[in-house]
Amino acid sequence: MAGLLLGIETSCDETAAAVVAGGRRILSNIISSQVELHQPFGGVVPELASRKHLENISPIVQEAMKAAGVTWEELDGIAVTRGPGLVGALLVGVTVAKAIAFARRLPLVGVNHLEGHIYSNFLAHPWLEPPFLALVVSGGHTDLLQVLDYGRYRLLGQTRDDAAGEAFDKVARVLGLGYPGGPRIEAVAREGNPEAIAFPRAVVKDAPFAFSFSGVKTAVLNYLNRCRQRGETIAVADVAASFQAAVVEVLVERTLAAAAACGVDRVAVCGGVAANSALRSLFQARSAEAGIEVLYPPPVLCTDNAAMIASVGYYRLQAGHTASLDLNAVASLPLASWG
Amino acid sequence: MLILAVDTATTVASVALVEGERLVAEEVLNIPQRTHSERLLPVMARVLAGAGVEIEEVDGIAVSAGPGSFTGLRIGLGTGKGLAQALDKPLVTVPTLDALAYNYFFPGALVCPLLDAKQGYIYTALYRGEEAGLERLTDYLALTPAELTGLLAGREEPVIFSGDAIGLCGEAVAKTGARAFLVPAASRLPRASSVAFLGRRALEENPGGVPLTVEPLYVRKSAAEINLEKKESDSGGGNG
Repeated sequence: MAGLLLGIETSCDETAAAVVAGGRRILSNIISSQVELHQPFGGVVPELASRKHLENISPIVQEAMKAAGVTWEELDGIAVTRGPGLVGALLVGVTVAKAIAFARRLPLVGVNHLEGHIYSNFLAHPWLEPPFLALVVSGGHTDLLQVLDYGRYRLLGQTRDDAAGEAFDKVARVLGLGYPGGPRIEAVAREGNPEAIAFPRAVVKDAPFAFSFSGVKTAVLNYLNRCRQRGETIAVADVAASFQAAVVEVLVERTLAAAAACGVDRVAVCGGVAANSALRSLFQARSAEAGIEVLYPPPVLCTDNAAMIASVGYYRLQAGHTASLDLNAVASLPLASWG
Repeated sequence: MLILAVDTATTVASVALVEGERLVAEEVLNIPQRTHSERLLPVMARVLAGAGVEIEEVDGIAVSAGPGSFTGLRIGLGTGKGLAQALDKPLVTVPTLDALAYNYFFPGALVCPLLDAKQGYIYTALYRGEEAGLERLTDYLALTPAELTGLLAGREEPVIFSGDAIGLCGEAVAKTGARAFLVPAASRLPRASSVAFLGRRALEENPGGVPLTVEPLYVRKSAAEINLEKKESDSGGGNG
């Protein structure tokens, strides 16, 4: 079979649909962002996200099918994100995907969103095969894991508190930079000195590959309070650059240490924060010395998208893992190997 | 014309198939322990199989559009949208309160469907039986039970109460006195067959159905929007 899958993704604030061939070749990748809708609230409002997904989903699916030049008859399956994410938002995608699969008598595949981010590297680098190390770093997750094979994972460490992207959002808010925080901090940090302020690089006791980002966030808050008490002007660009440097350094060093410990010479970075240019340049600088190859998807595949969901769907379908009509959305869905 | 209808506006999941004036098959599941997401399509599959109808034979999809549980409405309408798009068949939406009132058409009598809107509110609308059918007298409302009592004050017609929130509106029912008629418990549940019959009427008027961007009748805004508006009006303005 050509392995044509329609992917649907609505786990947070992007409504997305895509058609992918053979798990690797993107025929269409349509993403409708809700950023402007949530901006006045300084973060994603779950009920509004769910409402917007339901309003947009059918035209987005239609656009994905049309842009791919694919008819319903030609599809081999439907893949949909079933978690983790905002449960009400996830439910829109899951519901629509199930109805389409039921109506067209197509196999349905439920996909873990984090797994999708990992597979975005298969879309970006068609030659890439497991094993490799993956760093999933976004607004909701900071996970370091070994990809042993398609559907076989070993978790090495994850964040104990805030996700890296979440720390970016929170610091952006206290700096008055607005939402979404990641791109705002990255832009402002370009004008700042990353060594101006020594923010902490947290280590998690007895867990060499785990992360913690609430400490650096608190350190930024304390620093700002001290400046205000003393009546000092806050150098926003320096704070942003120094905070970003602290987060990026922890991500890069811990990832490369994990690669060395596992004897792996290839790392795939993915998720929204993978688009951060400071993260990419530090990886580039440090990985060369360590003899490790670091891969990223292009920015459009770092964002939440449905092509990566269709990619996972293809491999799950090949392995016979289909879902039944009672498939449900799950807010906290750990990344697990296929049973 | 074969119409497939779904209602998941409350804790009840219902799917029905009607052909013309004939109810072909219907299932009503009133088991709040399982989510609509898990049970709606299995219910639909059973209804179609029971009727010996293939999904491709359906001529139109009708969905109970609210007001009701926000998540329930999205599961019903999301399912309707997916079916309509994949089958290339028209979709129509039917207000949930219209469907609840539909079975109680008696000329001269009022119908007052009541749905639990949670947090101390109910959803309702008032209907009157006219020669031609039920006429809706009010908007679709989110009210407190006390406000419902006010809405019914001064009315002299008999009032037929239905829906899952009758128990929350004891004062309004009591004040209606001998003119109050309570629908028996089993008949208070939303029925997809009513959605189907009203949907068929909507499709006759509008054969193409509604655009697939159609939204449920939420009636109430999200808590975040209400808070933001309150903050903006407290701070003396805002920009909209």
